[in-house]
Amino acid sequence: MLDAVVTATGEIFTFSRMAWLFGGVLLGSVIGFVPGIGGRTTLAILLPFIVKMDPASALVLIVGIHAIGNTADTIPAILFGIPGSTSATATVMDGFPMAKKGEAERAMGASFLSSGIGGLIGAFTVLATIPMIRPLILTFGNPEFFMTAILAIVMIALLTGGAPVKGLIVGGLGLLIGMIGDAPQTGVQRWTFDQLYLSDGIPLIPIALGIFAIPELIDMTLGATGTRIAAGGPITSISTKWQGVKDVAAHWWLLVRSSFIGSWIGILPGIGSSSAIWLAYGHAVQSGKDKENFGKGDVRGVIAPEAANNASDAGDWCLTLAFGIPGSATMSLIMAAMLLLGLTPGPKMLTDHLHLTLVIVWSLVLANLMATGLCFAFTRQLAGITKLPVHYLFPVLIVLIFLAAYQSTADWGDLVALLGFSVIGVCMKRSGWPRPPLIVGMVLQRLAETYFFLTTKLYGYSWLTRPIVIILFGLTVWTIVHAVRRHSKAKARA
Amino acid sequence: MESKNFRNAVVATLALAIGLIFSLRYAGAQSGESFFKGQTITIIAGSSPGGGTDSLARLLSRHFSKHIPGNPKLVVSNVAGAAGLIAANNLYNRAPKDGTAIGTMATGLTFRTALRDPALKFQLEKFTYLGQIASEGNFVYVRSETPFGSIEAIKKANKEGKKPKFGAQAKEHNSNVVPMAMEAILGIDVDVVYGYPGTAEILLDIERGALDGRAHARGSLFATRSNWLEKNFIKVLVVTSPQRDSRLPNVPTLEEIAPADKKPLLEAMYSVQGRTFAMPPGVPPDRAKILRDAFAAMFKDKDFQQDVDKLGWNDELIRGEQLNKKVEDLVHNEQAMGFFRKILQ
Repeated sequence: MLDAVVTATGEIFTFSRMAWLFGGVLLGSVIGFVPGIGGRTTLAILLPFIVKMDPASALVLIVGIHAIGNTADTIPAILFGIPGSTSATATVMDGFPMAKKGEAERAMGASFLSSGIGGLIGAFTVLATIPMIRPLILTFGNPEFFMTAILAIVMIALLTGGAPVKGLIVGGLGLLIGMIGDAPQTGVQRWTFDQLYLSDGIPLIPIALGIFAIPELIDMTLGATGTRIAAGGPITSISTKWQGVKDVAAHWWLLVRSSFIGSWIGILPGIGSSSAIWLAYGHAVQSGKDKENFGKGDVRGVIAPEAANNASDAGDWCLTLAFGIPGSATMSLIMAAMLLLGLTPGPKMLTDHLHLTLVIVWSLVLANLMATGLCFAFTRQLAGITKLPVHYLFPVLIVLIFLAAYQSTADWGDLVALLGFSVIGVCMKRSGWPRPPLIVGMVLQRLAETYFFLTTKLYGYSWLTRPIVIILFGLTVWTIVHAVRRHSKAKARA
Repeated sequence: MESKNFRNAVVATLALAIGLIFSLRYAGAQSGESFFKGQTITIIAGSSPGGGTDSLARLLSRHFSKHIPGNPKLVVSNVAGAAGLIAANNLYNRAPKDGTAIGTMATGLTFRTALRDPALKFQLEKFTYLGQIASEGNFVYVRSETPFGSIEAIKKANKEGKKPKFGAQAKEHNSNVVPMAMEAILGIDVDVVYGYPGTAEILLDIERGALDGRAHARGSLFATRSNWLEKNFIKVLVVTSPQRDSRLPNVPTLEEIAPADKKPLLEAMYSVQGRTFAMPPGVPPDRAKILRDAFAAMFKDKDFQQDVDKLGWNDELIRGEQLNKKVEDLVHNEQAMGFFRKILQ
């Protein structure tokens, strides 16, 4: 073990490896800003080059490209209320209101730092628990995955915005939209109206852009000429990135707990970071003493999901490396790259190739630091965007939004979906309906349906008596009771 | 004045957006000359980046060019949607027929052909097939501790009302088709639980004991779970390729133990086990021959073989001419087509 640590450390701290890592981070950040390409496509395009490199350099480059995505996808979420990926949807809740208050820099400072530290805590948690992971995964079967998905949907529906019933309705609508397309179990076409475009379901990106981005843009543009996103005056001490750092320090315990939630979800195959962030956000709301500010620009609503997001990524890496179970589409691609490099993910990565595993862990740590540093360095310039008059931003953003939407499947249907969901998004925003449950309901629909089907097929009714299922069910009920009580208290006060 | 400027800005923006979209849409669809030198061949992958179909297209893009006279440029274009159907429709009807367009063929297309799906805008046998990379045989295995350790044992268990539970992905995925074919050919009863999101989840449920076994592509089993064989965690019942696998010489092929009247079903099963490339119908025969020869030459390339090995596939070649004949036979093989329809019901 010690040998491997020394070899790995020696392998990574060379000029060329550090250059590959930094190059990966830079490339990832440039591509991260161009909507619609994303880390997965970048990796797919680079694959032929990567497989010709020596394994350690190749892994370092892959980690670099991949690592910045989870840190940088918050930037549009905070600045414009447009989540850069599904794992940034929770950050919109409080990050964007902060930007509107003129606190974009503070929000980004807090977000980048929590991402960085969350990633580190995640990496070390996962490393420390490797011997226990296998039994954990094996006790957590289909019924438990199903209940985790349900818990996540209920949390999101009840905790975003002050209206639990509206949240549940929107979450349910998200589930219904998620059902459009080929049913995974029976192959039956659901609500496709003989349109080939609909047979795979409506892709997520046009919907997310229609629901979140277009309504914000329209509202900004309809304001008086010269309107800016940030209504506040000049930058004060409360709105600098250093205030964000102080916020993170003040809420360090929340950060740690959220990171644990993230690593735990990351270790479970097939749940994914979109549940992790919402479970962490929900936890922040439930455990916070003063809850009034959540959704109106509370920095805790930024810290918790960001920490959880990067921590869950560490768990995903671990699953892929040590067990050959990729937890996401990007990880499947990384696994394919590893096979081409002659490395078989699985137990041997902890014995024969231990030094390469440690190279990856080192790269994850360093790439997280680099990504955080890079984003942190440009926070002020990025926050400056919120001070620009909106009519300068509008043309750029609208083109990027249409391009990003069209990139999902390169079909006219993408644009129709974008426009259709823009109308729905505007209506929802104007009449005060929470929008995140729609997206998350959609994302979790496939998981919930698949695991429910497998659960009933394999276990009949006996799954209802499994202890972890009962605990998760209890948590779900508790979340509902808690939300209803909170809501009725708030009503009584009003 | 301000608002007029603003309106102009909006109009200019929309024009820019539409222009960009058009250029993206039609880039790469230029028609070709009679020679491949200086040409660009587009490989249409019927999936989004990542995953098996995409890696197959990218494998071809890495190795194919150096064997084609004139060394054309190869680019991969991802046309995702409807499990490869949109890509196949585009390839058949819209792609240039001069040899500058090649597509991956999804096995699901065979099933849709059997169902006479109206969404199909092509006839499967009319494509100009380029070749098949691997005839990917499957191992069918069960956990060693289950009472289903041989075909006879399964028959015996069936009489007691017990069936082995096999995990599978979609209905038309090999993990479902192979056990169903085995059931029909050998007259045994198995319970296939389909609907798993991916192969990793099936493997985990086998480990958890929720499933008894599965049909698993040979290469993939050796690449990801060879320790199961070493530890005797699983027992392989049968291999579904025409020949025995040299790594497990004691495992019989399905063909060896199949009754003679069920042979057409074997052909049906083999037909969905390959990774196939095709071109649109009507590619000039001389050019099709150049590309098919280049495809065959690629198989003798060491770099190519190494990459195929690493992906865990088998590098058995079937030439395009043979494929055209095989597909022609298959679509007229009523027993096979009926079997495909039965699977999907």
